[in-house]
Amino acid sequence: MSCHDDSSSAATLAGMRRIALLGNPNAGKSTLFNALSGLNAKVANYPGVTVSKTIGSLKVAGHNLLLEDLPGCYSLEAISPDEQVVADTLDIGSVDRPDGLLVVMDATSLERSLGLLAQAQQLGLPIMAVLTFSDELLRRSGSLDPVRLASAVGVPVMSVTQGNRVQLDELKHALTKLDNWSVPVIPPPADDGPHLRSWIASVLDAAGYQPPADDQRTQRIDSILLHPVVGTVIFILTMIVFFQVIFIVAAPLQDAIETFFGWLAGLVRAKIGIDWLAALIADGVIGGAGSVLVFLPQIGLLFAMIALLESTGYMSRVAFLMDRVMGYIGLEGRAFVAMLSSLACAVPGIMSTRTLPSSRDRIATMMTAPLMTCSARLPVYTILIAMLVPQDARVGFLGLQGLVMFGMYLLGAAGTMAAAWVFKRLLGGKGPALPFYMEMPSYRLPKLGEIVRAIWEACAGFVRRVGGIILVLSMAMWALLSLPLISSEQMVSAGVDVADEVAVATYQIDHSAAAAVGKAVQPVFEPLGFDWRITVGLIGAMGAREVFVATLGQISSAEDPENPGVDLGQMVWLSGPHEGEPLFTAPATVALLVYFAFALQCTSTIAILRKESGSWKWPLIAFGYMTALAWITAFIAKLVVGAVIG
Amino acid sequence: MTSVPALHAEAVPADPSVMRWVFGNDLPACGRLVDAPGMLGKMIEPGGLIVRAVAERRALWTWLAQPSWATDGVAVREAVYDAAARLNDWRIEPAPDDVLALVAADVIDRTLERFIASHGGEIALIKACHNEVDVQLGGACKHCPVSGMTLHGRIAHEIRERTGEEICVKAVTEGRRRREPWRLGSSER
Repeated sequence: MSCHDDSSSAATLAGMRRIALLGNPNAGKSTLFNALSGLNAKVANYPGVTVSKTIGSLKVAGHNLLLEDLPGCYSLEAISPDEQVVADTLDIGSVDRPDGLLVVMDATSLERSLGLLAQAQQLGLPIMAVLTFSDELLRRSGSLDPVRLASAVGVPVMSVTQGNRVQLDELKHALTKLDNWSVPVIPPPADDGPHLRSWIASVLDAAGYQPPADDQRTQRIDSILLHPVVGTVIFILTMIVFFQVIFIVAAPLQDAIETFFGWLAGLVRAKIGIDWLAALIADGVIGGAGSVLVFLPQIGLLFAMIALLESTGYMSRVAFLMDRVMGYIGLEGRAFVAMLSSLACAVPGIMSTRTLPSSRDRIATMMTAPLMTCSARLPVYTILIAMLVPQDARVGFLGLQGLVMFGMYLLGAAGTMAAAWVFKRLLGGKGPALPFYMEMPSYRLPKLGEIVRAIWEACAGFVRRVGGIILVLSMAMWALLSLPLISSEQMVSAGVDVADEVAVATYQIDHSAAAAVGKAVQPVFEPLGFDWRITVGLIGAMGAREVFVATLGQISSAEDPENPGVDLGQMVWLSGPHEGEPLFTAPATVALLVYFAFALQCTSTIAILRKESGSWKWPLIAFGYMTALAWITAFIAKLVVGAVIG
Repeated sequence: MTSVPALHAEAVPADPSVMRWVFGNDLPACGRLVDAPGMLGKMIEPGGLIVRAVAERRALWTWLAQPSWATDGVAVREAVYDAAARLNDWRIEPAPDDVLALVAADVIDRTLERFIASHGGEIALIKACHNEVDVQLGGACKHCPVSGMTLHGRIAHEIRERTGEEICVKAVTEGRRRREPWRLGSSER
């Protein structure tokens, strides 16, 4: 299958029936979408806005269908940008208008789903309603007759519970008979008013709907986990365990990967006869991108833990706990959800601000979400913390490295909250209160498949990122560090002992193009205790944070090719007033950690800020304030640590 | 302060010119609707859009001259919702046989059809008038020892619920030609 020509792929799309999935957030829409389309989903963008659009395909009994997972919404009358996308897509004039709609309805909150169904029925499209969570409705002693519901709403109703293959197959076959779906002769009342409320009440009554009883198990767990004091303590403990696991479980895997790349680099140096090519591959590619790939286990674990918290239902409790805290800074719980997403990456975090109806809240959240500790900071933190804290240092039974890492996450969160508070004040106080639903799903056992999927997606994304921007930037850094080549005569005349490989490499790097740039910029960072090599690393890291690790890896492997894994802690100042002094002193390392916590070093984040805010103004402000904040706090951190150590 | 009682429309699969308006509470009476407030009252006047309107206990049946619900449905819906807020002003004349014929056919052919068929049974409506419903048993019902439970329990119970009348259901052995109850109703009009 060819995807080279847009027009031909558009023609293929045009020939296929499109069915869109519409539903409230958390109605099980995406789970159903994944079950229907398997792994054939791909993500694109809606024209004009950066709301992601998930399209999948499905082949049943010779029919090819295109499925579209619309963003979750409560209403077709748009208040948030997400809902705007849904309304635009379903609009009569839309080129993307689907041929049919699957309205996904959570059986445990049918009343709200019916409001959306009533609105969807005004569109004149064939509709099928899919009931999800019927099993949970029964478990919580509610009841519902899908057949009577179908005759009351006038459209076919199918019940599909998660993991039930028979029901899923029935649904797949029903999708191919789109033209035979029953259509209500009279659509339900359109406007949100007494007529619609009357219709919903009547349909619920006709379908014999008994709403689910409060989930006893969930209530008991919630009485502990949502307790203002106990719940908060448990939340903090959970987070501590979270980071301990990331460190302890990942360590052996990381060692294995490190050993593998060390072996590979040695092999390359031994087998490739051409010196510069061997150096490019061994130092540039393996030393650069390879040194970042070492963090694959940690990234995988981070996402596995987030998926675990999400699939058990604990994540929304965290959002609820934090809603109170968010209230103090003038934001609502949904903003915290965006900030939580930013723990993985600021890009989805910023994109999830689309659920915020207030544009003021949205800007305040977008501008501060990049301060949350994203997974790109993880490699940098790991390497710096390893220099700061010995691996076997413990506080009680907890590893100190994991605790410091947890502290860095807290610092990021505190910075985000403080900045959000400031932005809310600057943007003009509280706006009108807008309706806010926060789903509190019942606690469920985590689904192994979902966690495996999360790990797979995170790792695949990370590898793609390493193979893309990080590889390109680290190759560029390698070239800048290796060029211009200095001849032996020049070295001799400069008084370098050409027999000493380390001295040659050090001299070469110290006179490279990168050194020239680094030395020019160094005065900016010297007050923080950074030499030109760290400065070069920081410049490279402006594209993507991981490049910092790659650059340091390249510098250390080039300076000592015999022992590329040399401890960065051994690095010393090469020249200037501090010559010979250790480079990574505790104050300088802490300053570097703090700098990375607050600086905006990510081209993807800048690009998404530009797209989501619609202008260059906000990304520029974000870059400016975060860089200034990073520099100032790093400087203070250096002074404080210096004073404490004496 | 008036409020609209729970109300929704359900199509009647066997007759596209009928719409059944299902209410969450009781209508003032069962029988022929002869006057109602607002637009609905105008629609049921002779020569109006609605050619026949019959109320069962919790539903109103409305007939159009043609099955033109796609075009006229929204207007009728608005009229019924508006009138539903003033149920006390509805005037309904008793027409027990009309109501019984409608409800008995609806219960046997639609509401309980799935239940009966799921047991391999067949039940056909023969006649419904004077508080008596005659049915003919077929399929697995014929020699089923508990068919009486279905007739007296489920069918009779359901019809009583919906007509508010004491009725009895009995099985007749020899079938006569079945007449569609709503056709019967409209021809009597």
